[in-house]
Amino acid sequence: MAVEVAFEFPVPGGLHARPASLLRGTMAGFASSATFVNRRSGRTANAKSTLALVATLTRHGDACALRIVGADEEAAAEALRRFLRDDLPLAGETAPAPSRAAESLAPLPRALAAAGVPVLRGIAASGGIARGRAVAPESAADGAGAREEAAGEASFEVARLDGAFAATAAALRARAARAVNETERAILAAHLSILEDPELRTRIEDEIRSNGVSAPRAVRATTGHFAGILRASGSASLEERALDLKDLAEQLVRVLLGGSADASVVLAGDAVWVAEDLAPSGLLSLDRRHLKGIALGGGGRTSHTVILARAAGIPCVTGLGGAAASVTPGSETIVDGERGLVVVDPPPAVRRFYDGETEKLASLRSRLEAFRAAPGRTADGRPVEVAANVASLEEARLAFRSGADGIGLFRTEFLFMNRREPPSEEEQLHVYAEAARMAAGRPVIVRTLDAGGDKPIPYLGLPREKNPFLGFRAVRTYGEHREVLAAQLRAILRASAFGKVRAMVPMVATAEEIREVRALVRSLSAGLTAKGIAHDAGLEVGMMVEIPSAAFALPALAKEADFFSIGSNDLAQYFFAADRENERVSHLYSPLHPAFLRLLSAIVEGAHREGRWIGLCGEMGRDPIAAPLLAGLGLDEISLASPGISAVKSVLARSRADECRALLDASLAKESAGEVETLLRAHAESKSDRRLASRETVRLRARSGSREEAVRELVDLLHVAGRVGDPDRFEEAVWRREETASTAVGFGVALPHARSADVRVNSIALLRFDRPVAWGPGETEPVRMALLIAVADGAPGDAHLRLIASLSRRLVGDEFREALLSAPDEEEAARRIVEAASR
Amino acid sequence: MKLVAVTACPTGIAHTYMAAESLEKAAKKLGHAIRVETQGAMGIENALSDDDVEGADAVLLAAGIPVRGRERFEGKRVVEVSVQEAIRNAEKILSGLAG
Repeated sequence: MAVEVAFEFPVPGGLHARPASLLRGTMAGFASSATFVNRRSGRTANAKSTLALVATLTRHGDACALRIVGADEEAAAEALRRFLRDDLPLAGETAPAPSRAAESLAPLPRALAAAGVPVLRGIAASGGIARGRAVAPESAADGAGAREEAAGEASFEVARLDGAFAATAAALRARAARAVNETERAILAAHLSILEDPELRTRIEDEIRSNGVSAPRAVRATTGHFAGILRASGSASLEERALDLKDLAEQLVRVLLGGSADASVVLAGDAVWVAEDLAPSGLLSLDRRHLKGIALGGGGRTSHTVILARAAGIPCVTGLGGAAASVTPGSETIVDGERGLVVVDPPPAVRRFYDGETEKLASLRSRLEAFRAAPGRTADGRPVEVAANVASLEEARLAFRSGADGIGLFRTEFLFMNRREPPSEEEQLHVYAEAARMAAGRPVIVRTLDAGGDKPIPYLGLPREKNPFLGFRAVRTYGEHREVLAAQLRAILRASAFGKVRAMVPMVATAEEIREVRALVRSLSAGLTAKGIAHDAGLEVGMMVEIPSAAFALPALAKEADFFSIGSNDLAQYFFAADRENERVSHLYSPLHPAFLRLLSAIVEGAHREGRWIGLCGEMGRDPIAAPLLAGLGLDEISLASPGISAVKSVLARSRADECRALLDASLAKESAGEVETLLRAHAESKSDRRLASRETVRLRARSGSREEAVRELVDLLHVAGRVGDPDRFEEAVWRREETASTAVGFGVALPHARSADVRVNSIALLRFDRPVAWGPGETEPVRMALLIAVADGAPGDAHLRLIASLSRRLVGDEFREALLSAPDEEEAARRIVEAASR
Repeated sequence: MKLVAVTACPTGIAHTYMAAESLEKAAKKLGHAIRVETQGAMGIENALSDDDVEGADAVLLAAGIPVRGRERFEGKRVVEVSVQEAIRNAEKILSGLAG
């Protein structure tokens, strides 16, 4: 008997390496074999071989099937169905930051267009601006390929192959151990998995045995075969995987010919790598103290080389085509990874432009930095920890980069999924300890296994249930899987030696449940102490409040739990008895409903009465307009997905604790979620900074010496202040207006302006010149000050336009102009502008 | 002297209003009566009435773009200048009209 599962391939990027390795991982836990069939391309593959899967050239929407044969085929089919439904659709790569380059041929900034030197255009693959001397590879072929070899006995060649595979794998592992970030480790792991792919090995051996060629030739022929399929796929991300294969092949061949898989390249000074391509291992072997930028003829946006460059913060432009080869080694080269441009031998004007750009990027970064460094708090300083929900070390790293005050929820289910047996204590220790190390003193809350429900883990043998959400899951399974829990708790205890680690128990309904976990933690801690193993004997153990019964048992629970965290998703589901994924009842699931808010309010008060701190982790924490409400509840911590952290922090920073409290009281008095939402929106609106000018939009000592530079400087002021989205496009709009007629209006004033969709907040920027600037050809009167007016396209209402009209009228009078010309500082000038506009 | 004027510019954000202000200031200084219609981003404001146009000794158009409702001024003495001119040299323009 065989089981067949038919489906339409759901991942937009097609079956590339990541979904393929996930599919392989799902099958790896079963004894049955599985064949992947693509009915469109007619290709089939062993579902346990990533390479073979990728080679099926499966695209989004293709009709596919999985044929499963073996003893546990039913269970495997069930796991695959679940994987196809729940996990696979989410397996696409996160889209890279949208780029302004290449395909759209965005306008060049004026300073570059006017410079009169060729500007090479490519794809902005990794952001930032780099400057250095061009360095090119000495010889692309490395000499090795050219050497023709006579093949030995097939068994001899296969033995050589064994040695080369082992040495290359060892080199990859060694490099992974030295890796400076998680991305490098992940990519090296992906290379390792290609190397260990059964299909690759089998084909190379076949090649040796049936064609009688040497091992190096067999390696090249086989990888060439797969790379050819990938390149012919018509999918950019599959084509880029061909580079990984080629890279591995070169490493194998180097070893086979007696070299080392590792080849280090020393750079003399600040360098920009300019070549047709650069293999991931090539990038890793370059001296990174001096590698400032990368400019490639080939490559796209998602190759592993690009991903490595991004992780290391090295600006990179790809897709330059033949232009890359025309660069003379040793030339001064600027790589503009923001726009996808490369300039060789830049003249002074271009250098000045990029000095400005570099400075702007630095101030944008330090602005974010200052913000990230500041812990979450209300306007009057009441702390509200803004933490992150994560499921892996990679996500934890992103969380801290996004300014998380801690990890409020480390979901551990993913460590347990897609495998045959639970992860060992050591394996878990490595993950938790690494998270604690990254946290650098900030708390990391590790949630113990939340298996069951929608998170099946086959080897735990959990029964299929009619109603899994009300069934045998999470803490309820711990009695039956005591060893699994003990190993996890020991790993958490040991990780507590590396930072502020806490444990949190999911789905607690009664005090007995948390009491048992607590007792186990005590005995495990005693055991570790007896063996002299370092850990925090006072490890805080908390619990999630996601079952309504827990909300009404806080005094008893607080005797066992050191802290609480409200799991608002499940709590709301159980509270409203409505599945939020069931379209027909999901309208009943509404966390902003006053009834639910009353429940939350009672929980927070109850926890505080017992002297316990309490947080919230759930979708609700992600909604910036709800953040003041959550602060009003008195929550000590909000934990959410990383991308929302900065938004929530900035919203909190604009509201005082008493306003938050008043907002909550007003919400509790309402009758529907809609009314609460209206209140929240009104509050958010009243807090947004919509004044026309601020200290940040004014610079009293302009750096510019020309109209071109001044326009850019004005645009940059608004860009850094977050008031303008795409600065290049907005600058272009300003120039289009500037070209119809000069915007110098006499009195030594210029008034450039534009209306554009790139304007986020209607704004006025002001520059004052120490040395007056000529405002374009034919303008006789030099300009002493320039005001840039930025109006949002489709801005609702005329209110701001009216302010700007009245400001313009005031500029005709001497008094206002003199006030601006004599303003002692930026603050005062901005105040004058806002005031003039409001009269 | 009684004058009417229309100001307008390509984006209608700033110059339209500066020119209006400039003309009004200069007229006051020189002792002329003036009504200025602005055709800007907020639409037509301070629209000239038929009586305004009827009673005016001259019409001044300060616009970088075609003025809307130009037919209203047929048969009148119409003087056209650029918006920049109106902002910078309003007094000179008005003196010229009177002379």
